[in-house]
Amino acid sequence: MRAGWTWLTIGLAAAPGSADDDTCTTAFDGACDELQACALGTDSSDCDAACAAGWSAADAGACAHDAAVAAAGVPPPPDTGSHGTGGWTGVWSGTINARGRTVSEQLVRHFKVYVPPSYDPRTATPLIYVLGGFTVDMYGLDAYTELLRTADLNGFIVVFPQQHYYDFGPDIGWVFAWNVFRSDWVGRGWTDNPDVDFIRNLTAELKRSYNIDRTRIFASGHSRGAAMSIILAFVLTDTIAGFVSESGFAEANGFDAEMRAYTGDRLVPGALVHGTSDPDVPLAESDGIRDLLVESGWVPDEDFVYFRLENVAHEWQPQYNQQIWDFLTEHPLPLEAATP
Amino acid sequence: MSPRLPNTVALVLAAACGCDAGGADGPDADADASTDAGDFVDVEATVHHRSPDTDAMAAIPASTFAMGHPVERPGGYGQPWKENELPEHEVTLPAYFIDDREVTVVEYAEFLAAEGGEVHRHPLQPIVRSGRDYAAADGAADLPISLVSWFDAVTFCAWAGKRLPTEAEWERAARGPDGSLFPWGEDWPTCAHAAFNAGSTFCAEAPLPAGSHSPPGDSAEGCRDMSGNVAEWVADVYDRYPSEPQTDPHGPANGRYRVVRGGGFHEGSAALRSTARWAADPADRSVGVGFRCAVRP
Repeated sequence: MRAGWTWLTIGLAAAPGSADDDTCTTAFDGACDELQACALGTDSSDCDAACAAGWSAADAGACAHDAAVAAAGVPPPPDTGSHGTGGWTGVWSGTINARGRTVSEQLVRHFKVYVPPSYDPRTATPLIYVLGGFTVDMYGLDAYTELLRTADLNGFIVVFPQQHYYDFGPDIGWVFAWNVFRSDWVGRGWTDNPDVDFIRNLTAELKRSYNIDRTRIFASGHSRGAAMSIILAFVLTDTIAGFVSESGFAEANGFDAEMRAYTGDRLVPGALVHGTSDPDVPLAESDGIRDLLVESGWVPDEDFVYFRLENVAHEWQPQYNQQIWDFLTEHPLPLEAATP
Repeated sequence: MSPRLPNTVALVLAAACGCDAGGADGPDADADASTDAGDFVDVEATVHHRSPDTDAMAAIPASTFAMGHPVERPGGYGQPWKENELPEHEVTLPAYFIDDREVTVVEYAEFLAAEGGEVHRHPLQPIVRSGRDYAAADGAADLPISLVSWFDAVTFCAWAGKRLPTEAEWERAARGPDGSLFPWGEDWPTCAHAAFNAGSTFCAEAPLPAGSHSPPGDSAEGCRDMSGNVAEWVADVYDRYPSEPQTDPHGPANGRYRVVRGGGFHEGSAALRSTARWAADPADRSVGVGFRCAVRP
């Protein structure tokens, strides 16, 4: 019986790989032998190609090494940060002022923030807003959406803004709600929307506190919150880089007309998620948004994605968090268009 | 193609494919191990390794079980299951061992010192480096290791003479022979069962020492923390399930994402169900994602 402890034949301190560095005896034979038979960085001619083609489990160590070396050698990206220098990590909550339904009304608005432990103020960090559905408060949204894990894995900040409390009459009572109907407030247009003002102010404050990636601030929501996320993306076009609409709508509140009238240079990217069995917000709403976008020049799977799901009713679908995040983060705001 | 050498094993390959790395006698066997490595026979490993220690592993007998969630009715309010758990399908597995707890910080530090080094270390892991030595930070030895990529997990398990469990192995171990909703049975979790997000508060602000919820949170076969604490990487590429019966499935050959199972201390109760599954980039790391290893007898 061989001894239980021996050694991997890998050189962990290997220099960044290049064809010139290949010293493995089986280099240039088309098979990535690093980890299996050669020290890391000594069969880069074969392993670079294997990793680029889609690694297998056999290439895992070599590809991880490749990625680490590549990350160390990649020139820094353009400075997209807001340069806030402080900020806690973990979960915290706060308040900020914003206008109410009339110009003279000022409200104290509440929000909750999750900053992953890997947050580094030297690195511009993306941010996503998560807006709950009608009557839903912010406190359960982290568990409901499962976005904290996605934030940890991908290194972004999650913000859960609280809806304001409004009286919807004797049948419903006082509940949390976003102002998604044009008749909800008094003002000149959608830019005077109380929730648009809330998110605008909150974004400015978070930029001062954290080093936020100004080109990767997104709005997501469920149901009425989804409708609000679409509004935010089409109104705050210098701030919100894209939207996620889970069981959302635009026609029911008349915002589809605003989307049709949109004349911005940029096709606002978005992700639609809707269940075919949704009893609360008809599937036709997301189908309608898809049709509207296509008629307006958006290309499916390039400018927006649509997860139209069988056996799904009116729920956030966290199993698509990763795919949606990958889509969004590949569609940042142009730096020149992003508010400093 | 790499030359075949005596006493070689396809450990790294087996780590992902779920294949038996070393035949009946494990990695020390002198047999042609590559014949057990399925489609990966052309890549052998001269990886030196530890002999797997199955003392701290749960023995899962060969079995056939229903994997995934049955369609009851569309997932409306209060229906926690997600459509990526569909369709429920029959899976047959041979007997295997799976770690009875998540890999701990002290074990991972041992791996870094022996083999892994800085390539597999994250600066926020509670591990102290001194030259070429690595040690668990004070009070952190028994915490589950997290902030590991899928690559790190694969390499650790290979070093340990094991491999990552397949997704099917993970689910069967979590559900037990009765196919329960949670590892401990049908009851929805409390903070006695697992570290998770219990609504308006977390049971714990960070992962707890591995095995902290034993025995209330244990599976029928003695696996601890299969749900909660840290979620866990498994070997498979993420995709939708097939509908037809499967024997020892390993998932698709290629894909962008790997599967994470189990739910962590950040996740709500629905995420702790033994059928819940997520896609994640294999290069990403989370304070809420760790792993455990498996091996065939």
